[in-house]
This record gives sequence, C-alpha cells and structure tokens, in this order.
Amino acid sequence: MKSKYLSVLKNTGSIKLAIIFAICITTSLLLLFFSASNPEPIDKPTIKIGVSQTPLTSPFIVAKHLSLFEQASLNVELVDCFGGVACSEALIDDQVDFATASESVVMFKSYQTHDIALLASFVQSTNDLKLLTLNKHLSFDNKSINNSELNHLGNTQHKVGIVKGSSSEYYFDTLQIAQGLDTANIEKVYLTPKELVDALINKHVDAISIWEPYGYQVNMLSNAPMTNLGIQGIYQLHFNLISKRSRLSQINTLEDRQVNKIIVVLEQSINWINENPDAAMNIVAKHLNVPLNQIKWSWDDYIFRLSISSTLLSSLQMQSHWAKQQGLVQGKEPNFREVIFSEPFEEAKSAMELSW
Amino acid sequence: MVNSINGKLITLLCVSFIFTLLLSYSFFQIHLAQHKKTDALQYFSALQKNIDDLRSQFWLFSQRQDKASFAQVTQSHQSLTNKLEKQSFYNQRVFNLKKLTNDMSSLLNQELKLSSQTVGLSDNQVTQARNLLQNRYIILIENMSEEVAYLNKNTLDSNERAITSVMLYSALGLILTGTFVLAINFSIYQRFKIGSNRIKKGIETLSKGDLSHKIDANNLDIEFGLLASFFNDMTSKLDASMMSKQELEDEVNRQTSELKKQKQQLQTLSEKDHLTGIMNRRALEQSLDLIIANAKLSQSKVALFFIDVDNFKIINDTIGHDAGDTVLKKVALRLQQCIRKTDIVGRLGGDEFVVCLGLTDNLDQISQKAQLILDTISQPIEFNGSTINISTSMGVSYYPFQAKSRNRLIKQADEFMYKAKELEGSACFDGQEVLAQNHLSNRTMSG
Repeated sequence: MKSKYLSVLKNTGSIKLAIIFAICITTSLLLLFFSASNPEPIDKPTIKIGVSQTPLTSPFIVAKHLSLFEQASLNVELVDCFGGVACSEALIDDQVDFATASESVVMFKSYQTHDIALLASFVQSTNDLKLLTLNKHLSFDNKSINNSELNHLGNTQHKVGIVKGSSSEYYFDTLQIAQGLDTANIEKVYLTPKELVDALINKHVDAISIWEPYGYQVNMLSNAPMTNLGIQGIYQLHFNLISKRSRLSQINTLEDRQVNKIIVVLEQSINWINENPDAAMNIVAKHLNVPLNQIKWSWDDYIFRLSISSTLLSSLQMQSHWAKQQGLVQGKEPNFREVIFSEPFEEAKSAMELSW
Repeated sequence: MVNSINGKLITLLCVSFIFTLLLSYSFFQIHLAQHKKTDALQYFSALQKNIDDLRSQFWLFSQRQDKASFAQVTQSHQSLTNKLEKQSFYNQRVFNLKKLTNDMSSLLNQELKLSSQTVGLSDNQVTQARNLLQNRYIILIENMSEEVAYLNKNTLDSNERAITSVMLYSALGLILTGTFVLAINFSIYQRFKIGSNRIKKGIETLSKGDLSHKIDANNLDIEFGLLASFFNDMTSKLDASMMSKQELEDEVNRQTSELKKQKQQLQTLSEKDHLTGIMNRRALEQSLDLIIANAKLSQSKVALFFIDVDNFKIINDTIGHDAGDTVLKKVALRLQQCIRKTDIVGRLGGDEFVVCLGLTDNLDQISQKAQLILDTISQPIEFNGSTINISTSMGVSYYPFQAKSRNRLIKQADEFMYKAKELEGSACFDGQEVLAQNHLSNRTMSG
C-alpha cells in the first residue's frame, strides 16, 4: 500500500516537473516574441517630407511603399515637389518638416538662411549631369575650335543651354575649367530645363548642360545620336535630407528621435534597394508615373549610400566659391561645417550598430 | 504517440539523428559564413591597400607634377582596375567601386589631354584645371575608401546576420527537437514504469501462489501487452493443471483413512476366525501367552476350557456344511455370551473351541462356569425351520497346577475333553472330576 502511494507520488512528481518545464519554455518563448514585437501606438504628429519627383529620392519612395516608416512608428507624409529648389523653399516656408535637395541647392539656400541643416546624403552620382549635344562633330576644347572641320558651322561661337544658378551652370563651368576652355568662344543661353530640351532638339543651342531625366528625354525625342561632351567624374551630385536647424534644436529630444528614426528607415530602405534593384526600379517608376526604361536609363549611375562624408563639405565649399565668383550669391559665405548637421546621423549609426 | 516502447525508441533514434544532422548543418553553415567573410575581408583589404597606394601616388604627383609620377598614378589606378575586373565573385558588391574607378580614369584622361594641350592654354587656366582635377582625385579616393569601408561593414553585418539567422533557426530546431526528445523520453519512462509495475505485481502475486491473478493488458504498450498476455496464458494453464494445497491434503487424508481401514481389515482378518468372528488359532495362542505371562507375574491362576462339538462331522455330512457352519457360529456366539470381558474365546479349528478364564483366584467357581457354558451352548439350534440338538464335550486344564505352558495347557485340556466325550451327553472333565454334565441334551439330532 505504502509503495503504491509512493509510486503514485513519484508519478505525480514527474508529471509536475514536466508541466513546469513546459510552462517555462512557453513563457520564455512568449516573452521573446512580445519583446521582439512591441509596437508603439501611432498617434504621433504627421511628419511632412518634401520629396523631389526624381529617381534620386528612391529611398523615400521605397520606404513609403514598404511601410518602413509605419514600422518605425513614424507618421510620415511624403509631399511631392518638383526639384530640390521647390522642396527647399517648402521647407523654408514651413510647409514641410524635412526636404530633399542636391548640395547645390543647399549651398544657395545657405546664403539665404542660416537655418538650413544638411542631415545626410542618401545618394550620389557622378553621371547625373551631362553636357549633351546632337552634333557629333562638336567639341569644346581649344584645338577643335581651330579645327577646319568645324569651320563649316559658320561661326566659332557655341551656344550652350544652361539653367541659371543651378548645378547645370556649375557643371558647365567646372567642365570649362577642367578643359581649360576659353569662355570667349561660348555663349551661355539661360533657359528652364524643359526649354533646354526643346532648344537642343530645335538646334537653337549647340549643347545643353542638364541633369537627368532630361538626358533621357532628349534621347527619346531626338532622331540624331546624342553625345555627352562632359567628363564623367568631374562633378559629383549628392542628394540630401535637409531640415531647419531651428526646428531640430527647438524640440530637441522628440525631433531628434524622429530624425534618428528617419535616418534608420533611410538606411533600411537603401539596403533593400541595393538588394532588390529591379523591384526598387519598378516601385519608383510606378510612383513617379514614368516608363521603367527612364528609371533604368540612369539607375546604374546612382550610388545609394547613406553618408555624411567630408566630400560633401568640400563639394559645398567648391560650389560656394564658384557661385561667389560668378556673382550668383551675395554676402558672407556661410560656415558649411555648421550647415552639415551630423549628430543625428552619428547617433542613428551607433544605434544601428548597437542593435546588433 | 506510437503505442510501443520499441516504436518510441525508434522515433527517438530518428529524432536524435535529425538532431545530429541539424547540429552538423548549423556548424557547417557557420563555418561557411565565416569562410566567406574572411575571403571577402581579405579581398577588400587588398583593395583598400591599392586605394591607399593610389592616394600616395596622387600625393606624389601633386607635389612633382611630372610625367613619371603621373605614370605611377596611372599604373596604380590600372592595378586597382585590374583587381576589380579580374574577379567575378564580388562583381555585384564592387559595382560602385568600379564606377568610381571609371570616373577616375575619365579624369586621368582629361589630365592627359590637358598636358598635351598646354601650348594653347594660359598658366592660370592650367593651374585652375589641375587644381580642380586634384580636388576631384582626392574626393574620388575618399569615396573609394568610404566604399571599401562600407563593403567591410556590410560584409561583417551580413556575416553577423547569416550567423544570427543560422543560430536562431538552429536554436529553434534544437529546442523543438530537444523538447520532442524530452517528450518521447518522458513517455517511454512513464509507459515503461506502468508496464513494468504491472508485470512486477503479476509476478509477485504469482510467487505467492495466486494462480487466478491476471495482468491487466489495457492501455499497455505492445511489448508489455504481449508479456501480460503470455503471463495470463501461463497462469491459466498452471491453474488448470495444478492441485491446490487443500485438495492435496484432502486426497492424502482420504487415502490414509482408506489405508487405515484396509490395515484394520487386514488385522481383523489375521486375528479373527473368518466364520465365527472370534479369535482364530494364531490370535488365540498370542492371547493365551499373554494371559499366562500375566498370571505368572501376578501369581494368579488360569483355567482353560477345550470345547468340542460332539458328532459335528455327522451334522456336516447329513444336514450339510451350511448347517455345520451355522452350528459353529451359534456355538461361538453362545460362548461369547458366557464369558467376561477379561476372558478369551477362540476357535482352534474345525469344531474345537477354547475358552480361557484368566486371572482367577478361586477355582471353585470353575464348575459353575463349566455348567453355564455347557448349558448355554447345548441349547438346540434353529436351522432352516428345523432344530439341531447338539452336545459338547469340554476338558479343563489349570495353570499352574496341570501345565505351565500354553501348548501343554491346551493339550491337557484336549486330553480331558476326550475323557469327557466318553461320558453321556454334554460333560466337562478336569482330570479329577466331572465338573458339569448335561443329560437333557440329546446327542443325536432330531427334526
């Protein structure tokens, strides 16, 4: 009787042990699961980001498409704007909280206001700006100007279509310097980007200095073969996330955290783009409502990379120097070291490393 | 769950096998990831070394601005380009680096053009152009370094991710298989305990001799179920073929009592005369010896009557042996009625009887006794509706006066009986006098 009782006791003991073990495993798995997915409720104020309608802003378009902002519990609204200038003006007018712009725009706007803060560069290209011509014999270097072959054109004065006070002009001027061109032989014709394409096709100008996707448009519209007279690598375009310094310092903690989160999302989005370039191109083409081929045209020129390197500073300084020389800007040169606001980027970067 | 210990053990074996495979696969994957990482890092570090070399060549070129140092720059750049081109494994990853080297080669071309054009250009223009290019070189080199740093970091991150995911899945797999193994083990333990307990209890009960106990084979694993059914079969057969202890005892008792009965019958047969039921000659002789021995010890006296039925042969011959037997039985019965319990009566054989009156102090009563015996046995006997009249002759001998041994005593009495026969009717003679005589009886038979 006693032994039977003991065996029953032993039995229940081992069953209890098994139950406790099972409970421990289940609890730890549940804890693991819930700690991994602990979403904060999204009742945050809407963050408006002015995004240029260009494939350069692909990281934002893709992040929105993949709901990466929502996953980071950010309530982000992408506000479409045409070109970095428009975006930066919307930022200055407080229509948006953040904006995307090239460093040329940042440089120009820094003369207007000291409030601009460049947070990070998310894409770069050395082939976005091109000096395009439809005349395959055209060359701007000094030798060819004297070339008898070109003399049949009737004059040695070349008309070059340029968008005034923009990276288009900066690019052309840089080319001039790099090639040691004589400015006397060149006539700058200032037009809007759209006008530039028409002017080139209608042969009102010999060449145009323009960014994408206008190069693609020229290629599509023109029957003659298009030639790029530019030097690849002479100019590097960065597209950057910018905001207002006053804004960032005002509500320091919350905004900072938002900025950090946006930077983290950008990093995720860029990684995704680099891993899935074809899918990313499709998403961007659909969002911008342009043919996929247009996106493919310049896609390989882009290096999607989140950075805030010293090359940005030197690029800003060089462009500023040029703008001053050209008389495009007035007043004291801004301190670009202050324009580049690297703290959120550094914090986000270290947070990302910590998360590993 | 499998309803057999063997099945469970096989399942356990399979799960353990999967467990081992999973473990091996995980370690192999981790090894592979590490190997890939090391290879990539080695390659990127070689690229970084080349970029550093290019940077120092550019610095030299910026200082000297001569053809020799430019040639060094071109060579270094070419070496970097070759390193990027002469591999196929990292094509995807070094795509950006290739773009940067293309940019660089485009700038170097421009540099070359510039040096061939210097005739038509002012010093200022050349300096400006060179400064611009120098600036771009620096930025491009910087970009390349950044790109390699990114590649390194990316490699480390993806390696970390790969290892983490391998470890996560392995851990999940290991926990799952571990839990499964635990569950199977637990089940085997439980089932084995239940089974072995029931078998143990069954054997224990059997060892106590209970053949009717059956092991409950319900809810047992196949192996224990089989054992239980074998056990139950065995006990059933044993139960059917074996006697119980009680039954065995009863049987022994029955046979013992039968033997006793037979022994008693045998004894009776050996001591009693089969016809008359009184002592036979052998028993009579033993009893006589005993009486004589006792009389010798107690100094007492013994009287022995030798009785013979007169004309018995004639009865036998004329009426029949049945009549003779009846006479003998009747005489024996009557003799028994005449004596005390301490006296003995027996048949010597034929029609001869002996009565011994033991341990008698007073011989005076002998004649009375003799008369009683004569009167009693000489009564007519009914046989088949007719009456047989008999007479008897008796001789009496005394111990210790006339004889001191049994045979002598009998012989003496026999002799006196013959003397008595000579007298008419039934008579008793003791060697000295006629102790009793019965004239009423008829020596012949009537009816």
